[in-house]
Amino acid sequence: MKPKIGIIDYGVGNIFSVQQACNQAGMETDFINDPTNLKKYQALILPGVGSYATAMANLNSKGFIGPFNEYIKSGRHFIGICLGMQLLLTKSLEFGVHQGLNIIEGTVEKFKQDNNISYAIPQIQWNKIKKYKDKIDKPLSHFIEEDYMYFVHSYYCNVINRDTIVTTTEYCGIEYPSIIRQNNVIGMQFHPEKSGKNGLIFYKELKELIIEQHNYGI
Amino acid sequence: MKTIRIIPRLDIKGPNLVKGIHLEGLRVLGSPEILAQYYYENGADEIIFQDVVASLFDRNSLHEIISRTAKNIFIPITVGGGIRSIEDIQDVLRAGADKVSLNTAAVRNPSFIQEAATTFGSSTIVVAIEAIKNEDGNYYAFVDNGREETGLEVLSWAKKVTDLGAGEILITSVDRDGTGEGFDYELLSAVKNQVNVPVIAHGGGNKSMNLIETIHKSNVEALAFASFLHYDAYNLIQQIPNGVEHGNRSFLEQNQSFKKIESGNISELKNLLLNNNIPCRS
Repeated sequence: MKPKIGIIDYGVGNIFSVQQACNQAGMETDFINDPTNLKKYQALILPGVGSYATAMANLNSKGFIGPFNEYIKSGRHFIGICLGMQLLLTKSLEFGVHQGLNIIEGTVEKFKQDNNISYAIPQIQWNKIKKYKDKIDKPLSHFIEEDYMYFVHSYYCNVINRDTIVTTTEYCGIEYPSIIRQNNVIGMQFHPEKSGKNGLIFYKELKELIIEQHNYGI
Repeated sequence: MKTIRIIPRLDIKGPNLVKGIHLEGLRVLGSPEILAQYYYENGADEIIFQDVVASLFDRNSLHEIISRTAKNIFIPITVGGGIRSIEDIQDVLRAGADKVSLNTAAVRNPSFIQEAATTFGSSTIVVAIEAIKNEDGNYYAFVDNGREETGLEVLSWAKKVTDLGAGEILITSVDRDGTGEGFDYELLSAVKNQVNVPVIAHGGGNKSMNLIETIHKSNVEALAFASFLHYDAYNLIQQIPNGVEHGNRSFLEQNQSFKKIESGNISELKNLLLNNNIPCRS
């Protein structure tokens, strides 16, 4: 069995690097720009770079919102990367207030300058992830403590329920969530497909988990 | 935590990796994909491809280089050279690039920066500035590999491009480029004082204490290297390009060594940073 991943193509972001990483891990991929047949995928990846408002408007106009909620109820993996993670939250303060998918409660807020150290905004660099939970479930269990990942963002996810935080990262003097999870919904602020071998670990573990679940008939 | 990125910059002409001195006098150094792969495996934090000729004829070969590279290396790839329209940006992103760097098109039509940033997000748009110091002590921006003057003063231009939405600035000191004399931290520091986005230093990089001084004095976020890394990598890989003849290959065929410039690898650079308490991915 070769897992099949749907990569949501709604006009933003480098969807090709996500595809390459999935293929490299041994998974098949489709780019999806219409929500009619999501059920044939064992996982959906919502990538994204760019403007929050534009991304939400595109998802709305293509009719993805309802089908996403149904997909998530089915228990399959739904993974938001970078802007895709931020879209999972209730709302964003990026140039006004914009409603998000409201799957995980919280607000997307902008980094504030630290007074002591000069931090560039956006953060464009490799930074460390630190485990916030003692026990981390698949497909996130293979990440290595304090490994460097590649981040590109000016806004971060301020989640209400701290139980959803899996790892944190420090920038501009604050510790913010770099991976969040609520059951089968996962958000990652960094780009696992651009974080070299450290990040490809995730795609391999996702593949193994999907096969395992398939074999148990889940 | 702030970490410094080390970025190999690969100048491409047709199917080949080339490198000049002061952005002139190109020498063929080998196949860009092989070098990019080598740097990926040896700790590069990103890769920059710069199409130095950017003729229409060579466009397809650039896209092929990008897509072959993007299949095997999983770090960010920035592509610059000859990008003039939203469609050009789309094409290189579709080929597998993560960011584009704009220079001439941004100078000719600054509102293009805004259009590009709105369409693809600021973090996808890097503006490259080629700086030359004038007799009046100011730096001026050039295009076409340092050959054509724009009349734009570098510091105000840097400020303007970030106001228009550039997510990152790549500053090349044309005076230092290909010389291995060290980064021009006076230039870099002046630019950093104007902008809040990350700045990538390029031109003259070596592994002396200049590196540490550059980071302390200018506060830049990333250091791009070309000659310094390529000569070292070339000596290791020793491969002759199979591509079509483009430019001066006699250099390679006679297997001349590059003794003129001190060379080194990414680990040496990172060790130097770490030994001086400057965080970087290791």
